[in-house]
Amino acid sequence: MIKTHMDRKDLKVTCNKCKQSGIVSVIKNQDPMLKQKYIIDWSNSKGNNIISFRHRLDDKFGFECICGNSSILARAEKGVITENKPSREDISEVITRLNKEVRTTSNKVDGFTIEEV
Amino acid sequence: MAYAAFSVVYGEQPSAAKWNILGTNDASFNDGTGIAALAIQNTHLDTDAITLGYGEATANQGTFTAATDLTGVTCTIIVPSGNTRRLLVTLNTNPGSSSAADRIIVYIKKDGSTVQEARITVGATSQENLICLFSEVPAAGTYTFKATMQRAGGTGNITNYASATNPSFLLATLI
Repeated sequence: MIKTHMDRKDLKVTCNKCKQSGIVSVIKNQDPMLKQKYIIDWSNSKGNNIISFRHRLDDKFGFECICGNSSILARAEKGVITENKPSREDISEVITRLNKEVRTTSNKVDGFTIEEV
Repeated sequence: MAYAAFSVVYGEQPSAAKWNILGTNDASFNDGTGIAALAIQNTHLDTDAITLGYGEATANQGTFTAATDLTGVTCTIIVPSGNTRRLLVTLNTNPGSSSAADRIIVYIKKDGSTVQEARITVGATSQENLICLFSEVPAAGTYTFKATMQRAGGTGNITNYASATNPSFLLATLI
């Protein structure tokens, strides 16, 4: 069972391309049966511009806006992460690339501004 | 509705709005709006999508003077329900006469009734190319087309000349 009340984050996600915003709820998964570390609760979303979510390997949240703007894949994941389950080598490659990048704590992630509300 | 590209990557959690892009794409294929211009190639068309019927003769027929059906130059077609396309029937023949200046007439008949005719005056013992075309927007149904030839004037005997390299044919196409 997913414990929602303790680990829910309500996020205001603004697309920096079309300037539309939406509120989404991301829940930290505590169900060992599920592999995802974070799960999005679409039933609690407000606004209809955010149409997809992914917890990326750089530990940031990726979103897709209805306008086509997308941060679903981190720069380091592009060309490596596909629709298939990534192999160990794939994940190693992404980690290698991430280690070469400068880490930031900005709330602006690849075309989206993410604020906790 | 138009087609929109759709893809997901491993670990992505799409919303209903994103899944519904697939439904919209489905609908666009159903009503045709999602099919790109010039995307449909001839190999996608069924054999009878355009050619509904064909019949030919590769041997001479005659002599005759009265109205005579050309053997093999006939076809039965099935027009699909809801048809709005135009049917084009092409008849190619090569009549000749034993007498100069005979007039020859050829008919396209639909279910036994004449729907089109063409005439020509032939030279002595020569053969002429006589083509007859018929066009209509037919209702759904099954129809039989045939070619009939006769002498319309003169005193000679008529032959319809045909061979493997010069066939007489009747071709029915939806265009």
